Amino acid sequence: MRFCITVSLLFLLSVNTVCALDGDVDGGSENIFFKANQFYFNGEFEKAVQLYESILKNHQSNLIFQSESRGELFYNIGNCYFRSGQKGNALLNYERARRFIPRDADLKYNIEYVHDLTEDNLSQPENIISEIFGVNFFSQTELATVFCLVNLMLFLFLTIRIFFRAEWIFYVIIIFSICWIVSGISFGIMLKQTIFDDRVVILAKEVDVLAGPDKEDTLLFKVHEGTLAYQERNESGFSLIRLPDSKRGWLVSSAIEAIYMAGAIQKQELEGAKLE
Amino acid sequence: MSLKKIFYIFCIFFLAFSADAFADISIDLTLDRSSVVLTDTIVMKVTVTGKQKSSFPEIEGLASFNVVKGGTASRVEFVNGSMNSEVEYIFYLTPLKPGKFVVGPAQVRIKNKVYSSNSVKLTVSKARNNQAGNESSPLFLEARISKNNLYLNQNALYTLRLFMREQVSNISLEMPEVEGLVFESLAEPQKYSTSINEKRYEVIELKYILMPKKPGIYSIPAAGMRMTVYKRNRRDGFFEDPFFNMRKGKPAYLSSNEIQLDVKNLPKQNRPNNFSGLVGRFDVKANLDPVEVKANESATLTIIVQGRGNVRQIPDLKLSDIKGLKIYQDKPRLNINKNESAISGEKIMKWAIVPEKSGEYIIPSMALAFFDPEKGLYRELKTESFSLKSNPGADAGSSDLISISGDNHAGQVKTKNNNKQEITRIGKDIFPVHTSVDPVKGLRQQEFFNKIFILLLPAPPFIFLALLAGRKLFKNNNKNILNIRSRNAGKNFLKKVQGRDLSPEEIHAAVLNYLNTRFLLKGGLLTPNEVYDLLINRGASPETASMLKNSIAQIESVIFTGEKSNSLAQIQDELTGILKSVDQEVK
Repeated sequence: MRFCITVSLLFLLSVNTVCALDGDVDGGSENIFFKANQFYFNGEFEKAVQLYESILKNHQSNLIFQSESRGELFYNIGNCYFRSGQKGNALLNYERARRFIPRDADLKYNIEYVHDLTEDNLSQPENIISEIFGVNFFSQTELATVFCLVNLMLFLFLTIRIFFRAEWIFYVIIIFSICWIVSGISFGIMLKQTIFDDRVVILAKEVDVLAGPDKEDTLLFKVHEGTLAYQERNESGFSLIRLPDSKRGWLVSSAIEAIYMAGAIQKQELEGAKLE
Repeated sequence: MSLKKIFYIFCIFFLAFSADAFADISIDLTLDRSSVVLTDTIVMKVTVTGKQKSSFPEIEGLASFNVVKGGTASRVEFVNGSMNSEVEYIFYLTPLKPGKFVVGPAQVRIKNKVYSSNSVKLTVSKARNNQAGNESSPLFLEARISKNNLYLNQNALYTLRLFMREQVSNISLEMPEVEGLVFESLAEPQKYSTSINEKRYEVIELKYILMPKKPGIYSIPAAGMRMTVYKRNRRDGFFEDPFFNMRKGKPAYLSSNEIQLDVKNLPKQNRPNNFSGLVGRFDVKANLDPVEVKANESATLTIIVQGRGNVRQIPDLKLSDIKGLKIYQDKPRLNINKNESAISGEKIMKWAIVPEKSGEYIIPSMALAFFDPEKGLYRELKTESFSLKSNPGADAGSSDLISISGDNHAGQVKTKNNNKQEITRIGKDIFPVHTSVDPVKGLRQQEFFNKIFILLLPAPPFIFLALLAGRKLFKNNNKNILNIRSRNAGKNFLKKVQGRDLSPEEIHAAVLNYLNTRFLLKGGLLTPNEVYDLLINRGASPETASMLKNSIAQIESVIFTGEKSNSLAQIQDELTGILKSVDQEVK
């Protein structure tokens, strides 16, 4: 027992040290944030985007607990792109923000507004299971926190029951077991949606969608900036996409960007490797 | 009482309380028919909704009836998560004289408050005549029509009654089919009892509206009913119901009487030009609201045609174009009601009328023509003509436009004379960036929370499993088992002995069992002296050892001499104290 307490204290001390160090580093991030806001209000949107993105790059993005702050930054980046006339990039960043601040009224309004401005009339299909388990209502961090706390309470009471077999503990365990299952499913769906998020946004003003991964292939249809699609696979600089109305076709990969950041980072790395 | 029982009792009390506290109490009186003959029996139900208990209802208007109580039934229902409770009082009424009566209201008292029901009209006519069937037969089918002389499109009531003195089941009906006549079912079949020639019959009654679509003389053929008949047996008694009856029923087919019908064509004389074939009795109501509006604002003209007859043929009235008015007609709505003896209904027609300019406009009257079969005349009803006054409207862009926000995404508010505000969006833009400094602080904390998450997610199950496994291993070790038993020996002795009236043999056995378990002995009988030596060797004080030795000796004396001792209870108490001391002294 003493060993456990010692280990926990050492861990907490190490975590606090990390935070203190981060705090020192982020004195600069706050200044960058202020500067970025100033650039935005002065109409220098490109510079504002660079600064907002630099803050995001300074912090890890592949964590389970991700601060709502990321959502605020993506939202601001989206606004910068919108003001500079890039609807596609604006929608891309708004959708990224939605994962962190799904109930933000400003964000909801802006997404709806940008959708109204897009040329392609496509509605997104609704996922009933996600709606039932509140995945679209809560952020990933909120679901992780709830699951974490319920997990802690459930096993705490299970542990207590090893030593004290009181009847009320049994009922508490039943209640926490139900909460554990529900919150676990919600969290699982959220993780699945995040990790396997294959949504992309069309960034080019107008893109030809072809029957194959070659410029000479038959033109099937055209899509326009700001349209949301699902990416199926990549091949020699082309991506196979599927629209919400089930139309499929190939377009140049540079005309789209994945909403899930890990996907976007992988793409950047691949492009970097090709250039080298 | 266990927690489970408390939980269930709490739930039951909560549900009962919620039903009582939140239910709306209402009382309703119903009769199974509104017109009967003198020999019929009527079922009257008084339903109290919102309560499961009430005082017995006091019902007015029953002086002309013989009343027999038919029992009560209470119900509790859960519908969409809410609880409804009701109690139903059933009465059987037999009229004593013909006439028109008003039954009700019924009154019940709930918590010193009196609740009253509705009243119901009942017509009792003299005993039936012109029976179609053989009245001495135990089963017969009768068909009746309310009128034998009809006009084209005039509705008549066609009634089929099955009179039974035998048990029947599997009834199927074959309605007559006649070209030019349409039968429309009115209501669910009714079941009641009546007496004919002092014989009691059960009656199943089916009602149809008959609509002639062509003039001529018709002979409506007999309606037929197929069924299985179970002959009554004197020994049947309780098991006379077909459900219990093991005997096979006999198939039977019953035919009703034929009916003659004369359908006349509608008279050509005085037929209005706008007559659409509507036959019956109708009424027209019209309303314009408001009668004064601003230019470009709308008023609503509503016309309701209601009545009894072939309501499906109520025509859509047409409002002619009026210069200076824009007229938009809503889709007319037809509501049809079927009661016991007729089909009634109403057609609601609405127009939105928008004056384009200020001024006064006359909305002309509209006419509805129908044929009244009772009087044999065409009638034409006209709606009222209305005057619609239009005042000058407010100009757009005038000073009564108030901006509600300086932001470029905001809408505007247009004030109206009646102080209500109508918000009109005049621009659209995105909401601005979020400039709070919290975003950066949040990013700083996310890695910390991530580490907490990594710790909290696997640690609790790991600790739980480790403890569980440890406990299992500990318990499975033989040495530990004996040690645990040894530690719990005192507790087990107390459980056996405390508060019980035991025999000296049982007390003796319990003490020896304690000693064997407590000191991990192999078992066997210990003499009082051996007990003394054992305790001294194990570190107990000589006083405690000697007290236990004496107590055991006393018990043995009672056992071996067979003498009854009143001090057994006292020894039992002493032993409890001595063994507690032994537990404390011996480690």
